[in-house]
Amino acid sequence: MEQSSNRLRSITALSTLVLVLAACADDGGDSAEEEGNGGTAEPADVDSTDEADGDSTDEVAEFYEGKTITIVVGLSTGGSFDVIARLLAEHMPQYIPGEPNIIVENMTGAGSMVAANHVFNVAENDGTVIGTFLGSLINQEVLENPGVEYAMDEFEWLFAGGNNTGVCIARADSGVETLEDTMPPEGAELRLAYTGPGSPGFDYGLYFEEVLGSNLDLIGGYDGNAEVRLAVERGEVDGYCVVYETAIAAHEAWEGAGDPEFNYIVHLGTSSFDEVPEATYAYDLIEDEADKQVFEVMVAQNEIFWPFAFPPDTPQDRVDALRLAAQETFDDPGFQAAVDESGLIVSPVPGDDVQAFMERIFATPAPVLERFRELLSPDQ
Amino acid sequence: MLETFLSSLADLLTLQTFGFMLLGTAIGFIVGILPGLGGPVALATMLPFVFVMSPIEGFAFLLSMLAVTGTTSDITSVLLGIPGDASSVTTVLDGHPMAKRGEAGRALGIVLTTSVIGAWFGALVLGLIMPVIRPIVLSFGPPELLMLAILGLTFVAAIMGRSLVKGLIVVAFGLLLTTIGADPQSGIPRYTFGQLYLWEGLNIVPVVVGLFGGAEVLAMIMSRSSPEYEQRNRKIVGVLQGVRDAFRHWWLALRASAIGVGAGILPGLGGVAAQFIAYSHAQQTSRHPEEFGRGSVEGLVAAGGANNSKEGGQLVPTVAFGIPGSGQMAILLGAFIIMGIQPGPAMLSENLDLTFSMVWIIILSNLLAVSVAFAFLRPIGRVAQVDTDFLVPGLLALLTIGAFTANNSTADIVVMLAATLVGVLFIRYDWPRAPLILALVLGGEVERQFFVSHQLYGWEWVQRPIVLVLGAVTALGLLVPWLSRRRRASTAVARPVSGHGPKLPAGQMTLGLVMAFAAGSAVLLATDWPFRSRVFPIGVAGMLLLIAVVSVVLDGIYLTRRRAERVPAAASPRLRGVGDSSFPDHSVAGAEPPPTLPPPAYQTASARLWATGVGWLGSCYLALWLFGAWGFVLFSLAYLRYRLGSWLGALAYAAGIWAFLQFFVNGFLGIRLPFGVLPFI
Repeated sequence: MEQSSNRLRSITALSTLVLVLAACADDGGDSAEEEGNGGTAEPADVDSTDEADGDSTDEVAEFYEGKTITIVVGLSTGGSFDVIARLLAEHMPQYIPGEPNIIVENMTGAGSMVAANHVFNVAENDGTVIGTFLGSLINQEVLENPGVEYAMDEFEWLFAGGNNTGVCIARADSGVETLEDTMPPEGAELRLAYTGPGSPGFDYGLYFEEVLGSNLDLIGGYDGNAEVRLAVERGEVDGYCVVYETAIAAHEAWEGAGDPEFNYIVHLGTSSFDEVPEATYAYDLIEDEADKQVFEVMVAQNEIFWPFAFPPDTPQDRVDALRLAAQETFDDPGFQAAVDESGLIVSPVPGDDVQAFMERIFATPAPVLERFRELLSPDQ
Repeated sequence: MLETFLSSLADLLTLQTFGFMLLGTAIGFIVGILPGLGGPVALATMLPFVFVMSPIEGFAFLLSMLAVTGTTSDITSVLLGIPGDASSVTTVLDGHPMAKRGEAGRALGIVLTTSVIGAWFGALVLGLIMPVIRPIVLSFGPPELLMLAILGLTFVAAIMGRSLVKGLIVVAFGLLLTTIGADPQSGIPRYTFGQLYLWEGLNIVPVVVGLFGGAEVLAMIMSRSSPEYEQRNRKIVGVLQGVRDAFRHWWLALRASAIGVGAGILPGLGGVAAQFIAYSHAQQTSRHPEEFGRGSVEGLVAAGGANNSKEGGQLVPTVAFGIPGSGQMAILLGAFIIMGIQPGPAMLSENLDLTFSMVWIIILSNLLAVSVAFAFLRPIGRVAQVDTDFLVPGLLALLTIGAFTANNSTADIVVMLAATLVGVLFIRYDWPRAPLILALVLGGEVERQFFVSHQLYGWEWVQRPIVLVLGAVTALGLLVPWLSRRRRASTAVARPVSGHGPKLPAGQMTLGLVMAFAAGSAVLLATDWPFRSRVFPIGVAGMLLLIAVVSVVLDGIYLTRRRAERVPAAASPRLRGVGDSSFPDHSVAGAEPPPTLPPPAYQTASARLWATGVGWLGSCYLALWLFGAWGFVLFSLAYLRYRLGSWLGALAYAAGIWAFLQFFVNGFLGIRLPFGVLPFI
């Protein structure tokens, strides 16, 4: 008897609690509620894209007012992607119609692939979720690596934060002054350190070995650029490849050709690079036309550093509004000062260009992509 | 230079900067003391705030927070047996047994005092060594770091647990677990079973939380309140005795601190390894090594010292080379970027004042935190007196949220539960849990440094002088405990063993077989991978298979012999340990021998108790799965209503949990709470 009445009491209390909780949820679960509303409000907004510009801006403003945009960062807290995202979260809202709040969420995993898959497949595509992940994820897609559940050319690209150039650096006492010294007939050996596949040392190293016949000894497994730099300093390796802007940020003496103990042996661009005019221009050394095209594909990835995107099929007026807002933010003196202070070198690329870039990569002729796979597959 | 050192103190003592340091200390104090949440969580969630601070303010804020979480998470380790993060695991080993036998106050006295000793030592070394650090760090290349990692792993396998074989199994199992994820060298996913979540490997946070926290909470549910334990810690006494203990073992505290700093300085080894090496060192040099793991004062002194000196040590490679020695330092490095400070030689020239201010921040924030902790020891210690039923729901919520912070993924919680299961089995069969953590931390490093060493020098890497010296030390570290174990075994035959002993060998054999099966499967799965991706997994899985088989055979022989002799549960040195810890505490002359430790609930529980424990735990996670973080509210309500019998208490508690999760965890710390599958909230 007592047990059953106990049970009855429990049930009554539980159901009361559920009711109370459900009532409380309206106050507590702000962000979830917003996302829900966003979903239901969407159809009306989507249909209105071909109306006049003013109306569209009003509607975008109406949509974003009181909302929160989440930037999903595919890499960890405190890294350059995270810093850029957080700076944007601070400075960008004022330029977005409706001035929404922006928050940053880190979703790490599989070299930012988890975040790319999430933004592509799961995230709300109403303009409240922005993703940022490594531009080199396009390699994973082209190489048809496992785990890829996104299509880089289908994201709604908003902008990219940087347009960078890669270089390879070697110790002066290695005896190698330019990449040509490692090529036949001299064929001087150069020990080049890299972190892992997909890092410039590995990709370009393999490419130079295969295409130019360079005598390279690729030493992999270092944990990040700082450790690679230390290995070069210890002298256990001769050099490494790195984004020029990262190299000089870490080692001011390397700006231009300032450090007599190191040489820029090659720069990895398709056009001349004024910062280090003495470095060999790798593109000139390549003879085969297909190989040149592969090189172009590889190099192009530096042009879209720190890319930011909406999920596919986000309403066009919101895409346009965010692209504009990004441009205005990059021109904002307050934002520029904050970026300068962080030591990062930002050179924004407009969303249209990122989109065009992605489409260009996938328009690459099949034989070139095949050659690309052949040169860079990890099984090599 | 002395002038800069003093002026950097003055910089720190401005109103605003000191205010940020106080704030950081306060946040670190609270987050550190909450089980399941530790330094990495505090840093990651607070990092965005430094955008608005100047460099010295930012470091005052973050570094004080980091330094203090180490100190206060030691308190939780002692009282609840749940480490705040991977780097305070060794504090649990002796601190918690001390609390269980009624010496919570003394244990807290020891950890708080050694915290200050360790932290100050670490800070001073940071200040002194920075100018000469480059040649030291540069003399440790990949081969030397590889050998150091091997040294740490063998030390720990040799000394922890009752037998070398079990220690080695756990280490090999941990190493095998580190091969889960995309191979950093080929990109090939290893043992990921199609789960993208596993690509980045197992995150250490959910594993620590489950292995220690989850296992501890389940024991609380199963044992209900332990009146004995409450009775013993009715008052927090003996704190001063603990302080005296720490000073009596000052030489050990300093040595442990030196090891903490030393291991912290070497990039690639880091703070987690530091505490294990220091702990092993303490046991190897102790006159009473058998007390380690059962409430040894020396063990706790070593753990406390190393645990808090490592921050100073880890800052060295972070500041001097931009190479973080741990996850926390990686986040701190992010703060460097945000504030536009470039780690490297400039930290010794133009930014020297900033480097020195870090020394002061560690010194001051630790002093502050420890003073506050001593002042509030009574209320803090009350946690050891409350009914464990009252702790269960809150602990489950905290631990789960802690695990969830790893990747904000439901899979984090699944990993935590799997680790809980492993933890329960290890306790049940008296296998050491701590070596698993060290293996998880160092496994990737061992594989990586081996390949880099091999690419650079072929097999000649073993002939490098530092490698040879470290190799000799490793061999000694294996031999000495083995010999002393044999010696002890020959004198310990007559020891009585408690009644639950006989159950152990059969279960141990099963667990050994499971390990052997896992190892065999791992070898088979790896055969198709490219050479470089499969060498390490097959190597460690092969090792695991071999040792597991040896262990099963040894257990089998033991069982057969015991049956033949018809001796009920004869003492074996391998199985001794759980029930027979009524050793006199030699370190305190004339003191009464402390009461014996009760055997872990998992070794004595009836089937009904198991059903109760697993049932409650299962219902909590079912509620979580359905309702998200609200599940904790419902669970607390149901659990406390049933256990305490009071609706009012249960409602108040559930409301408290809700407010805590909403306002502190989500609102203040900005940590995302898990959502449930039911969309109603």
